[in-house]
Amino acid sequence: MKCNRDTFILMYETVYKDMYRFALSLTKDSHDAKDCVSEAVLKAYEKREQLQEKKAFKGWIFTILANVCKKHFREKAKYLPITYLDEKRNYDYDLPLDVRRALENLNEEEQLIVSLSVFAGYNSSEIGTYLKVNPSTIRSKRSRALQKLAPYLAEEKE
Amino acid sequence: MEKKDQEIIDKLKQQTKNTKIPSNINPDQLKSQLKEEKVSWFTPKKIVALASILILALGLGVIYQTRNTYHKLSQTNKSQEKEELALANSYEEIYQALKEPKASLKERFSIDRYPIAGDVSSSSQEASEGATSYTDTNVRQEGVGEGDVVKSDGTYLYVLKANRDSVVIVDTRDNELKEVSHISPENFSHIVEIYVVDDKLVLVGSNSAMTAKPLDLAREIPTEEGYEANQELTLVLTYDISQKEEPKLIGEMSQSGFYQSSRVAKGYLYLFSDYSLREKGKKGQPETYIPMTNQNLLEAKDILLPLEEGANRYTVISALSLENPGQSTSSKAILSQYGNYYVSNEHIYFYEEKWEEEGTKTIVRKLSYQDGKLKALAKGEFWGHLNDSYSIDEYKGNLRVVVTDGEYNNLYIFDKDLKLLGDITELALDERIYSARFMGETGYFVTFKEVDPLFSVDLSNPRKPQIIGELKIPGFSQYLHPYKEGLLLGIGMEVDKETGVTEGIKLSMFDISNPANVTEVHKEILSTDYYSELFYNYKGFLFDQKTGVFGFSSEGEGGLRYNLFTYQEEGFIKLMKPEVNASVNMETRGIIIKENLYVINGNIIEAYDLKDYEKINSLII
Repeated sequence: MKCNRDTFILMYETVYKDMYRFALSLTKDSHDAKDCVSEAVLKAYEKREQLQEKKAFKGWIFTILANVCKKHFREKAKYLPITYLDEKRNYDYDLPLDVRRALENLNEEEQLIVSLSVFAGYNSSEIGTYLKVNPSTIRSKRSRALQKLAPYLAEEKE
Repeated sequence: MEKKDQEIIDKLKQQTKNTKIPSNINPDQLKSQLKEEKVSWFTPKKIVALASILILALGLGVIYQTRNTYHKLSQTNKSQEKEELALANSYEEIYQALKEPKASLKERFSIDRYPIAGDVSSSSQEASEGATSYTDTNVRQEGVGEGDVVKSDGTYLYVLKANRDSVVIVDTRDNELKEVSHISPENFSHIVEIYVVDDKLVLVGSNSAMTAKPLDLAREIPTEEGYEANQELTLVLTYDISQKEEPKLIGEMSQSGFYQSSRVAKGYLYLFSDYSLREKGKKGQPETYIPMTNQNLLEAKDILLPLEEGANRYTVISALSLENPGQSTSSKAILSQYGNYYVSNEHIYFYEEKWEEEGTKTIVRKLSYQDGKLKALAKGEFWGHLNDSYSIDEYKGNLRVVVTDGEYNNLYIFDKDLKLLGDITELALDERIYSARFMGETGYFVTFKEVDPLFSVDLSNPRKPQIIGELKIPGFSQYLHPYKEGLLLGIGMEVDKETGVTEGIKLSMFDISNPANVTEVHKEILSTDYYSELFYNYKGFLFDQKTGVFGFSSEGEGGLRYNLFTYQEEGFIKLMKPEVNASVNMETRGIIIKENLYVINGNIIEAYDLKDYEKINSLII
C-alpha cells in the first residue's frame, strides 16, 4: 500500500501510547522502552511498503515492536531488581508498582503473551501466528499467566 | 476467553492507562525524524521480478542478483578501510562523544597489541576428585566458569533463595538435606548468581544505593536537577567457606551499573555490568558520566569510544583476583547502545547490532583477558544478526559466526584480527537460525521455517568453509549438545508439517559420525509439554558426561516438571518426570551428586534416589 509520511503518522497516533506501555511491560525501564518504540517506529517506517492495508497497521507495527523488545528484554529483565524503590525514579513514566511486581512472576513467553493481549490487542490466533504456537496452547498459557498475576493486582482505584 | 481472565486483562488496562508517555515519541516529534522519501517503484525486489521475467523469456539460466548481494562483505567499502578500535584519550573526549550524538566520530589508530598465546585450550571441567562426582553448571565454553542460582561442590548444595537476598548452604551427606548456614549480606538487594571456587563462595549481582543503608560503596553526587549518577552498582562479595558453618567475608568490590554477567577462569573473576546514563553528565565532573570501580574512575585510555552516534550506555568489564577480591586488577568500558558478548578461553568478543537501511549489521570488538589483565585488540563487522552465543565461536584463534541476515543465513570465519577469511552466504532462504553448535572442525546449525534443516559445515579450512550435509526434518531444535562421540542431541519443538503448528517438545538424536550424511536416528516427542526454560537459557541443561543422563525442566499440561532422560542404542529412555514444586517462578535446576538427583526451584530442594527414582527428601530453605 502506498503510505506517505503523514498517513503513517496519523496511524501511529492511534497506537503510540499502547506501544509505549507494551515496551515498558517487557523492558521494565522507561529509558529502554522509549528506545524500543523509537527503533520500532523507524524500522516500520522504512518498511512501510510492506503494509497491506490501513487496518493491518496496528498488528503489523506491534510485531515489529515485539521483536525489538525481545532483544532488549532477554538480557535486562532477569537482572533488574524489583526492590529498586528509587525515590528519585520517575514513577509517572513507569508502570505502577503492582503491575511491575505482578509481571515479575511470568517467564518471557508469558510476558509476551500477556502484553500482546493487553496492549496490542492481539487475540490468541494472532499471538499464535507471531509465536508460531497453536492458538489453543496460547489460550492455556495465557490463562495460566493471567491467574499468576491476579493476586498482585490491587482493586481498581477510582 | 474466560470471564475471569478478561477481568484481569481489564484490570491491567485500567491500571496502566495513566502511564505518562515520554514526549519524544509523540507523533509531532516524529514528524521531524521521518524523512519523506519518494517511494520508488523500482525496489530491488521488483527489479528481481522484472529480471526473472526477462530471463524466462530469453530462456537463459542466469542467476540474478538479489538484494542480499549488497551484503557481500567484499563489496562494502567498510571492510576495505582499516578497522581499528578507538580508545579515548581524555574524559573530555568521552564527554563530547556523549554530548553531541550527531557529531561524527573519527576512528583512531591506537590499539593495545597483545600477542595471542597459542591455541584456544578446551580444558576439562572443574575436576571432581576421587569418589565424589557431581554435575556442574552447563557452560558455553569449557574451562570458562559461569555463575548460576545453584552450585555444588559434590558434598554441599549452595542455593540462592527466591527473594535473591541470601544464599543457603545445605549438607547432602547420608541422603539428608541439612541447612548448615546462610549468608544474608546487609546491603545487597539483588543477588543474581553465585560461584563456588575451591573454598570460596562468590556472590554477584546488583544493588541500588537508594534501597541499601548508606555504605561506603554508594556515592552521592548532587546535580542541579537532583538526579544522582552512579547510584546503580554491581557488587561482588567473596566469602571464605573453609568452615561451612561460618562463612567469612573476605572482599567486596563494586562497579557502576547493573550486573549483566560474569565469568571465572584460572583464579580470576571477570565482571560485566551495564551502566546506562540517564543524563549526559556535567562537563568537568567526570564522576557524573565516567564509570567507576570501588569509587575510582576508570581511566580514559580504558574506555572504548562508541561506533556511532547516540551512545548512552557503557558495558563495564573488570577483572578481579579471587585471592584478593576486594579490588579489580584491570577494567575496560565500552560505550555503545546495547551489546552482548561471548567469552572464549582467552578473549572477550563484544558485539552489538546496528540497523541500517539494507539490514542489520553486527559489529564485534575483541578484547583479551589473561591473568586478570584486559586489553582491547581488534574490531570487525558483518551483515546479519546472531541468534545467541552458540552462534559465535573461537577456534585456533579464528572466529566463526553463523547469522541470519534478512531472508538469508550466512557463515563467516574471521582471523585473529577480525579480518574475513572465508564464508558461505545466502543459505536457507526465508528461514532463520534457531540453534548452532561449533565443534572443532565441524559446525552444525538449525534453521527453520516449516522444516528443520540441520546443516553440517566443514570448517577445517578457514578460508573455504563448506556445507557438507543438510538434514530436513519437521520441527526445530533450539538447543544442541554433543552427546557422545558421533552423536548430537537436539532439544526443541515438533511442528506439524501441514499446519505449521507446534506439537510438543522434541528430543532428537543425530548421528554425526559422517557429517556429510547426518541422520536423525531417534526422536522422542513430549506431546503434552509446550515450553522449556532451556530454550532461552543453556544453564537449564543438566548433563552427566559419565552416565549419559541428561535433564531439563518443561512446562505443559502436567504443570512444571523435571525431565530426566538417557539414551541408548534402542533410543531415548525416560527415567523420571516428577512435578517440580515451585514457590515462585524461578529457574529450575537439577544437580546430580553421586547417586542422587537434586531438583531445585526457588526455596525448594527435592532429592531423588537415582537407583529407584524415588523421592528421598525435601527441604524448604
